[in-house]
Amino acid sequence: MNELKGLIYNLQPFAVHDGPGIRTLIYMKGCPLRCLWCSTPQTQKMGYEIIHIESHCRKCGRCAEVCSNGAIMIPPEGNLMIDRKRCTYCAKCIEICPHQALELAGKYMTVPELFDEIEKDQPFFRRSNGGITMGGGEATMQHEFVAEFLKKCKQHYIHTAMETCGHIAWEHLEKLLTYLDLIYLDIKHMDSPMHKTLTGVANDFVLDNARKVCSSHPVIFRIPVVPGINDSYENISATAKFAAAMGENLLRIELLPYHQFGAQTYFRLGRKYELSGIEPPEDSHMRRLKILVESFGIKAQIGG
Amino acid sequence: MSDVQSALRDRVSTMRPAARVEKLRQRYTKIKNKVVIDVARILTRTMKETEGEPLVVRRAKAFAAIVRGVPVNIYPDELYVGWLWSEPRGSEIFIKYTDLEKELDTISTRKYTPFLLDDADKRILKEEIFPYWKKYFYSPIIPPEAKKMGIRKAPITPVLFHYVVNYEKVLKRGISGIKREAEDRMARLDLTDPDDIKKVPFLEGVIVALEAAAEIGERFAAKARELAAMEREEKRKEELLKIAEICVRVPANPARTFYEAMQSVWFVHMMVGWEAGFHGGQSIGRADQYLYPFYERDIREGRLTEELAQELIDCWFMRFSQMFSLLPENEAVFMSNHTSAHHIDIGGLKADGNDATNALSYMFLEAMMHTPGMVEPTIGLLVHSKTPERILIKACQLTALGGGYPQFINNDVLVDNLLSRGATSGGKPVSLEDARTFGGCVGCHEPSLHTMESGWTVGQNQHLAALMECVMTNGWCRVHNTRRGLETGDPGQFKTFEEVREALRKQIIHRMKVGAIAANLGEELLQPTLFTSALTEDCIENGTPREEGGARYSLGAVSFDGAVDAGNSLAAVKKLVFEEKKITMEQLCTALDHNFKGYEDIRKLCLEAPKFGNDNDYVDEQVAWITHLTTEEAKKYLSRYGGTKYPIQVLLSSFVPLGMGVGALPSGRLAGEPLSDGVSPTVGSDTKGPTAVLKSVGRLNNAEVGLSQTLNMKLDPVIFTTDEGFKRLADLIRVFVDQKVDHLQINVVSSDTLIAAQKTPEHYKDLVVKVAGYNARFVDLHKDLQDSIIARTEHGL
Repeated sequence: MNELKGLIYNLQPFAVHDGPGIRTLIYMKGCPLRCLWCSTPQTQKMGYEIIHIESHCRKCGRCAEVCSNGAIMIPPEGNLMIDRKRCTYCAKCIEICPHQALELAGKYMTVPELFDEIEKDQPFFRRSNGGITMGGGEATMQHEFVAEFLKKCKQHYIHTAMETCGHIAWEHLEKLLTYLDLIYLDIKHMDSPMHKTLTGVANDFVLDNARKVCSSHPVIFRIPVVPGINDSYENISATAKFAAAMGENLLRIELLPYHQFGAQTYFRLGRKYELSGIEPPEDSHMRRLKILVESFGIKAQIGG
Repeated sequence: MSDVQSALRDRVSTMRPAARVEKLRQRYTKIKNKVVIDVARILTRTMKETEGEPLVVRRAKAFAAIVRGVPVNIYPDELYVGWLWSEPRGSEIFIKYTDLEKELDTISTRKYTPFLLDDADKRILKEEIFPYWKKYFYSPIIPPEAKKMGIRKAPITPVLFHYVVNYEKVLKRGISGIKREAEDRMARLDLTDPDDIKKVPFLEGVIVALEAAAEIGERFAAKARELAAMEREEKRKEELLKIAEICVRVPANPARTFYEAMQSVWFVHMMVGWEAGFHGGQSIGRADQYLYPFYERDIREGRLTEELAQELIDCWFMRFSQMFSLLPENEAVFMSNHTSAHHIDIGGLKADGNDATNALSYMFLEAMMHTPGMVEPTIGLLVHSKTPERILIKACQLTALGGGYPQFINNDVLVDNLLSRGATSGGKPVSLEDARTFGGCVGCHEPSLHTMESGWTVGQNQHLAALMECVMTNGWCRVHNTRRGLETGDPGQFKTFEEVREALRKQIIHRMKVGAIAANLGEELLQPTLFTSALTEDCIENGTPREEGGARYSLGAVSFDGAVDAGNSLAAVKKLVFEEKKITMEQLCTALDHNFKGYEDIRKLCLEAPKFGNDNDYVDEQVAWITHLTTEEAKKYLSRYGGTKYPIQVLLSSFVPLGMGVGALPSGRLAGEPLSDGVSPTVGSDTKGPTAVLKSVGRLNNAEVGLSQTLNMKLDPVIFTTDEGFKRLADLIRVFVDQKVDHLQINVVSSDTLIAAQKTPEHYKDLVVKVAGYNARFVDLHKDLQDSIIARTEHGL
């Protein structure tokens, strides 16, 4: 039997910034975008990844010994090196590591398995009018699985929200909307070529989908405010102006100050963090952007 | 207080603290701790002088001598008079702490919480006080059977702690009124009845004690008048004359105003401490309930404004924080704030089952907001299914400020707990009305029937984690290399998981019996109280001190620890040895014998086995089984002052030193590492956050654990980014009520804590923060990321 399975990075109960009430946030794997500032790079790839936690590692070499692909090297100086092209994700190194320094990011779950997990948090959803939020990664990349899962949630009266980058074929998104109560949609840059430079894709899908979603569902736009990248008055004004045309379903714009919490994860994935020189935006700048958005008649909020 | 916290306080607080409050608060934080020996000195001298008289009479005379003999001081700017130990930050030497005798020369210079000590006082302690009380250090006789069970010496606990006396009765009748009640009882004695004859010395003692207690106000009134006569500043002169007027009235007579009532309660609380010679868990009870009529009448009749009432409450609250228990160095290391746990409950139920929250409940929370840095009173919100949202939100706002208060006490579980006592303790059944009206907490957060319960001593701790170790060693303690438990068989030969559980069951049954015997021996020289008994129902009517069973309800305590560690260990053994068969019992035992050194693979398997606190039935049911067994065993034994014993798993900071004596465990915990803090998950093992912890703890039968178990939780302040955070925390507390967890204390992590964790990571392994997409132990993160999270905390984002 070929049962539908989803690839999930992590579940985070007691999530408090991604929808009303107390929520369980489901981080799905896979994303069509490669945003430079991405704080969860471990969710980008549609497949397993090995995370190496350098602070736990004693460089004992057991992982290298057990690796049948010769993908792990222990240099005398510096960190353990993983050749990720050679790695077949057999996870032997993870099993053998006595210091819990290696982790496999990614777990296949069926819809009932995932539902059983989130159902444990029902007592909290009930009390707080909370629910689940699909995040990631980009949940719509696994739209078949997500649709089944959301359908099950709705059958059990659980509030559903989804964060999306908006870069997805409309028919797939439309199918998910049937089971969604609230949509968070990222507007990362209003200038399409710039959007492509920063995220790897143009923004035409995003803006087009934004218009369509707003015609039927409550939507919150999110702007990850990255200094020097997309935080100009010009870009924020353009976004607010676009939002102002969305009508009543557009609830507000959330201005999410850029942070570096994900930077360490790049390192743990053996990747380079491209934005290492950028500092989080000043509080005063965030407040000015909020006022700017509000001047378009749109509600604005700093942070999620 | 950081800038973020100050800003948050300004946002959530409804009233600015009065100038006097801030002035006193600043002053109190600067005073150095000092040893005061007035009470011990007078007690010892009187006990020597009265040798040969009945003990109750001697204790009564000693109490009277203390009340008439302690120094009477009134300090500038203060609205109340009387300090428990003569002056703010004074502490009494408690004779129970035998180790202090050896530390008198170093007490003022020791690293952890030093106390100043005068040379003259030190001499009196060495020459008069300690030599006299030596016979009370350890039980003089250990029966051979007890010795065989491993009891070599049993430390004596001379007084009962953990109770709330009937403050309300003092407010309504005055000490003199209660003295008349005792006289009346004496007059009603049937002297032809030998039982009644036995009551004479006690009732005589009560009358002597109450007569002295009624004079305390007059002593302070005289002092206040004297100071007023010399006072140049008109406003302070008026204040002193007002104090004199109040003290002439209370506590001898019924209180007429809110101010009088507050001073009266304070006097009584002080005298209860004097009689015990120590303050530990003597609590204030549901003060918002019994003080409310005075507040309401004063406001209605225009004698009091809300502002003045708040100032009175703020100043009253700060007094509780100025008395630290003086502990020997080995305990002081782990408890930097030796708080005495003056518990105050707010909110809760009325007799008819409806909510009891009133204006004072809010003002008490506001007082906590006005007095940051004060570690007392130990304020608890009694939460139940009808608790109004507004008080819950206010409580969550206080929580957000980071002081760890209020505690959340599940009133619904409390009522279940108290109602079950009559059936199981052998005592009187508790009525539903009493459970609702007098149910509250004492000390840290132990359930109690206020005003009518005996109080209890903690006695000796039963280490369930150590018993789990005994299962794996056939009774041996690896750390001290001695026999510690029963010989339950060679663990290598256990063929089924049931055999392992059976071995632990036998160890626990045996140990609880040892604990009961040790407690009985330790309580053998319990000293009767007169004043405290007189204010405990129904001691006067029964003509018997509460130490002899005079209280309406009595119970003893058997303290235990490590249920979570033992449960985690059982789950690991079940999974790895008997289900997945990844390792054998022999291999596991060998790994444990070597503290996992050279057996890191086995330790990894052990660590990855399910852990309590993650909403996982597999392990939660093991912890539930252990807790139930321990509870059932405790209730098999009677206490010497009535009722059965009850279990308690409230460890303050001692889960750290206790862990030092326990070797490696199948849970993967290394030798010497801290144990779990009450029923809180073992450090670093709860990876799913607060919701999963509440579900796990909720799976235990919390109402049956008579004297409660601590649940401490650290919370990342990231949830308070917006005001919605208060609501979300309130929702979390509603689930805490739904899930029948009985106690919860939340520490919101401050940037100061995070900075401290960077410096000494080994002390902060339990700090879990939200990162991007995952929760992580703060100490495992890279320095740059740690700095970013500190910045997030400081910015309130």
